Amino acid sequence: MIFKNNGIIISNEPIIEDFVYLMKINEKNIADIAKPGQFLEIKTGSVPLLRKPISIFEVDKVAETISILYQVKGPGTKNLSELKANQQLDIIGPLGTGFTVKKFDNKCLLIGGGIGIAPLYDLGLKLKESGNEIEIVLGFSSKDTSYALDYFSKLGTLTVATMDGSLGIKGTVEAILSNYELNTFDKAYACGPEPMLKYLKTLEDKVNLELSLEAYMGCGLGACLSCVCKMTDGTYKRVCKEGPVFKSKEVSFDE
Amino acid sequence: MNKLECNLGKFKMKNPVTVASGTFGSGKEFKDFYDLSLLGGIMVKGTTPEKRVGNKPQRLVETSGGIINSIGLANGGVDDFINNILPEAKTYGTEIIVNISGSSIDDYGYMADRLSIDGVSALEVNISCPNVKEGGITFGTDPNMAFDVAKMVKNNTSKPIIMKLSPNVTNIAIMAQAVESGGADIISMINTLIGMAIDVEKQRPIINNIIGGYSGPPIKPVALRMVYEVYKAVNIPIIGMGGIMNTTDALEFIMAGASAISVGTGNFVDPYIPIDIIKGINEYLDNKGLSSYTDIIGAAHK
Repeated sequence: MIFKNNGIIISNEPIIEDFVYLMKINEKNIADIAKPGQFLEIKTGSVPLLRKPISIFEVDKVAETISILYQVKGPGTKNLSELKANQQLDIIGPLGTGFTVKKFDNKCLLIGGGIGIAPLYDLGLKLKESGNEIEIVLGFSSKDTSYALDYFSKLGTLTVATMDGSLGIKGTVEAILSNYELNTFDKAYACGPEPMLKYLKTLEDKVNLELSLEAYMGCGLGACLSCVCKMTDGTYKRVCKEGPVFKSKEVSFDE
Repeated sequence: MNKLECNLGKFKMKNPVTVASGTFGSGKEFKDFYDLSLLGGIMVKGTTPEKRVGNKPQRLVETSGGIINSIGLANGGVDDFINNILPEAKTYGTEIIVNISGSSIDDYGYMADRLSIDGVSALEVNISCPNVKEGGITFGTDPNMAFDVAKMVKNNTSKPIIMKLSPNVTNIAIMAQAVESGGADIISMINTLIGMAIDVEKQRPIINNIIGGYSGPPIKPVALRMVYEVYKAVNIPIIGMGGIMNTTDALEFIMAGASAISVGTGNFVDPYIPIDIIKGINEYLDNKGLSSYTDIIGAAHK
């Protein structure tokens, strides 16, 4: 079921001013059924015209809230950052196909890059509830542009890489993962920039891997066929409907 | 009585509000929002004789208040439509208008024949797709070819034929007259305007196909003007579309001469726009003391 409802903003706070924000919204229908890895289509104002697809960061069924962690990238997310508590927000959701959540025999690995970390937090919470042990690897450009580490460190062992080495290991997540015995994990999940996903795809024979993809969307509902990504069999699938989460082995990053 | 009862010649709808091809899938993606039987009709995503995977992404971008798309008629082909999409679509309780495209005149005849089946209410003939290499828009810019396509479809079906006109022509009235002579029962207009957008950081076109079809609120004045011109030039009804976002927009199209309207890009912004327009037209008629919306078709010409 997909809802188009007016949620009420409970809070909308910068984690890093003008860059990354955390918004909590009261919206019972969506909170009731949202699954990790799903997203929302949010009308941020009269301009831009299109809704903005934003990943769900956390769902609290009891409190009837959903949270989003978002980066200010353009006019739509700029609008979002200016909204205040108690204002209404026009939301469509929950949308798309999310991550596989179940109890695994061995550990699970979460790999996030930049704002791509957002959908992994709710996933981590639900994996933990299902009794899994979790390790987390996150990559950012620098210490000053890293965020939400306090959330992820609650889920399990957290290792961070930064491009300039100002926090954690210097480099991308590759600098961390190249030292990992990936076959000791039953499952890995990743979301982040395309170069990171391309690198992770090279590891898909070592660990069962799910990737959450990003694409420019029109409707977010599966109707316009804009946000497609290429599959290894040469066909296209809709990131908004069959995705955003795909098995790594299904996805092709070849031009 | 039903103030919105809509008669487009032999093609009848419960109301004049439809949703435009390519913006609504086959309806399936929208049925969580409302009962699709509230709609006058659904123009389903463009169908071709064979399966098409569509164009390489990026396929869509928002620019200057509207959107540019270049999907490339991605669809499963007519057999897939008949076997896997139509059986569900025909249960929606609304008119199913199948949008067809081809890369040759014969393709259009084949499509018309294949789709002359139960559950298909009418055919919308796309002679104006800007996003495919063969056929598509060439049929929509040459009056002789547009005439030939209309005639070919007419000869292969008894379903009502809606010819969808391209705005990318010098004289839209001549195109309208050509399809009318070819046997069109109805004209739908307008398809998208050909446009482009450039990423100034990368210094490259944003859409992989370079150009695409521009739609949304900015094209409304152009569409409205063209409906106004075509209304004077032909004797067949018009389904007007192009940037319709609300009741006022829809009323403007009706007053310019459209007997029905279609919501396209608006469905991406708010799926409830078509339903709001149905309510809004009823309210307008009540306020004006009118018993049928047909009283205001072409009102702006008086």
